[in-house]
Amino acid sequence: MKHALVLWITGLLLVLVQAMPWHFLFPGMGTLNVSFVIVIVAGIYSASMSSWFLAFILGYILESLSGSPQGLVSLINLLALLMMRGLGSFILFESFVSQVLLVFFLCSTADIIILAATRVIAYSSLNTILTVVALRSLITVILSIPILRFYNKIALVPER
Amino acid sequence: MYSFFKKYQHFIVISFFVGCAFISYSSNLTATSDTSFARRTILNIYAPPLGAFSYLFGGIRHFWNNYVSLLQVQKENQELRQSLDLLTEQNIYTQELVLENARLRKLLLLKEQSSAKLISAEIIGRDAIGWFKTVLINKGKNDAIQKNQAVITHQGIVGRCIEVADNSSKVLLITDINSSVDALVQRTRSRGIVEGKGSSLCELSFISSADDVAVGDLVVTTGLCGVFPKGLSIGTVSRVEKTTLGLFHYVEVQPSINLNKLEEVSILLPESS
Repeated sequence: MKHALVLWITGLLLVLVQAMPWHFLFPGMGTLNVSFVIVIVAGIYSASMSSWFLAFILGYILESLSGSPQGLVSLINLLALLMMRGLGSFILFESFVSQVLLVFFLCSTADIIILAATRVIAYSSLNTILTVVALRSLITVILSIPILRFYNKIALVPER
Repeated sequence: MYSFFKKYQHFIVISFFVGCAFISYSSNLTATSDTSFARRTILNIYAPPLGAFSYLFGGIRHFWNNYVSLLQVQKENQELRQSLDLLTEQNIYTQELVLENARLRKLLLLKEQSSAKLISAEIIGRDAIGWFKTVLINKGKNDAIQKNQAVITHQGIVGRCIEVADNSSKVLLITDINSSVDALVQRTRSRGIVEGKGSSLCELSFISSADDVAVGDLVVTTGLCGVFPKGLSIGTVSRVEKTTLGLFHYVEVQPSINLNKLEEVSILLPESS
């Protein structure tokens, strides 16, 4: 329960950061969807229904604060959880390396789906798109390391 | 019943949320004039903290600009730039009038251009995902803002309101791929449509290969799209790829305004409001 609450608060705060302070701290740099990492963490640690609700709500808020089509980001967040369920049968998510690889893979997939669904992909060459997506995912992975480490730590401590 | 729910709990929950997302996504297909209640609520909840952040960061930026770095020079420079921007805009407007006169339009009984009311607003948020070109402003329904109203600055057009909450609104910038504005090249009167490219540039589409367009030409609004009045600056032509076989030129337009550094905007309200 405590873990779920921490995830909710972190997710909602990260959305807020993405909407304004990010542009002040990193002017000229495109916003990275760091709150997506929270959805992945929820998928790793929270098997309960709240992770699905969190994924949907975070997506919906992000759509409202951006120019994304309605339902797209929430659908991608839910899709990520579904993919994690599928991959969970083959990969051990408790390992830090697999978590980092998972974040990279899911961030890249999410970005490509967004670009394809919104026609952005039609305006640039495939090479440019792939480079930008890989770069964004890489930076997101670097930024997600403290978040993953923090949740790895608190998840190992049994809840009272 | 309970045991059925317990047994298929996960399947039901997943189906429910995926269904909600699909319903939400499918609502993009229908053109609605109003922002949905859920979206308005989210904008209303997030607008105050975003406004506070904007105020705080604006204060920090202002302090840095005015007190830390050469106070007097900075101030003078800002004033000169502002007056230069104003003169440039006036010059564009004058050129527009000269061309209009040249076409003998003044022989007609011209209606006095309606003096639309302007409301100034501050940018309190930017696109939270990074792939789209939208901003949030601190004015909404309570300030008579409505969907599809033009957002401009003294340098040119910025975009249009696409979602309106009580005290905040979302603005689609002209550089977003979903934006298109009816435009013409001021020098040659060639008409086209300025479409966003999803980057910091726009593309002037449908310029016939027979038309004369050159780098540096000013692109202005035609006033025909029903959102922007006529003669407002959109940007300048930054690249032209002339085709010999195709029907249209490829024309790239650099917006008049640096949309990444935008802090304040004005919203054009119809005279009635």
